[in-house]
Amino acid sequence: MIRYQVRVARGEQGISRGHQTFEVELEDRMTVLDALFRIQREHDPEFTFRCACRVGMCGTCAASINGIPRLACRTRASVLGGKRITVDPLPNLPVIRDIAVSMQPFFDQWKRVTPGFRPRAPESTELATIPEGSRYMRLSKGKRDCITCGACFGACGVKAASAEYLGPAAINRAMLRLIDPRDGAVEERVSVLDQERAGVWRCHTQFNCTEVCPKGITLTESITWLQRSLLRKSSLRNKA
Amino acid sequence: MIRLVGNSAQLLQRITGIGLLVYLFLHVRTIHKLSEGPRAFDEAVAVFRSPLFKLGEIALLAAVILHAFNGIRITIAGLGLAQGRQKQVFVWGVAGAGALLFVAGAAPMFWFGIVRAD
Repeated sequence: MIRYQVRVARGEQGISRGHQTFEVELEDRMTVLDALFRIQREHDPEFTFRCACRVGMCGTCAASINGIPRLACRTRASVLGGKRITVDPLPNLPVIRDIAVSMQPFFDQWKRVTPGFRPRAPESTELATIPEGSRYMRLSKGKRDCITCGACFGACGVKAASAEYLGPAAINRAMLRLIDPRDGAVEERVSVLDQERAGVWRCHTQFNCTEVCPKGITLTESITWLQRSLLRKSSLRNKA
Repeated sequence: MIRLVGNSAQLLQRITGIGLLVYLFLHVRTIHKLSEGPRAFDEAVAVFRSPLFKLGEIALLAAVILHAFNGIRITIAGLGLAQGRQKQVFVWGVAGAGALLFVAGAAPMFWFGIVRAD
């Protein structure tokens, strides 16, 4: 067992009450999420955080751990280096209580890019096939695994300064739909992505989103790909 | 406070950018002294021969290198290259290679401009 000092943010509804430090004992393979559970069970039952799957699939437990947005369930305490761990709520999102944040701003932006599939030919009964070596398969490789954890949204420096900005996850989602040969909502998405203040042009290529994504999605690549594509919109309209 | 390389890179780009802009104004102001005659220009240039300004020139070199190298990195990223290795590109390509170039340029500037200056 290793003894850690876990410093967690306290507060609710946007009113910060600073940080509180707890002494927590963890085994070698235990995660930051285990530390949060220990705090709740052994020290303060009112301490609030969110989690669901505990295996890095749902993205619910994303938080700022030692200043970097990560999934608490996938971050072993021993790999952080040092015996002091600081856990803050995910930046750029309103705090509900302690570490739990509201994902509303994230999903508000997500909805703006028409994230759902809109078939080009809804009446078609023909089975759509996407070959292995097709453009869609090539461009979407490694980009389809987003779990909407909000880590990229929290790490984005532009998002910190602009409430209007779509954020990396929504842009990546829009890119996936735009390159999908079966999808038809091109104009709706392009009109949002091409906006000067909210769209892809706001990205400063900091690569923070790519660096923190727990699924290893190269989100900045999606953004820069769209920037280049929007210079020649016909390439997005012509999906053939 | 988010502790990521991307934030440091953008902060460096902003600081060096503002520094270069200040230098540009200073440069234009000095050159403008030519319009007031050779004596006014010589007097303006004489100020830059002090050790303090020599150190400023070394800082200017650092700013130019960092700004240029980071700018090239951003351009390369914009073209869709080396997207998954930006941290390494920044650490080795911008900070590492920039530091080597800086030492190669700053050492003679310091030696001949400050230590062995007449």
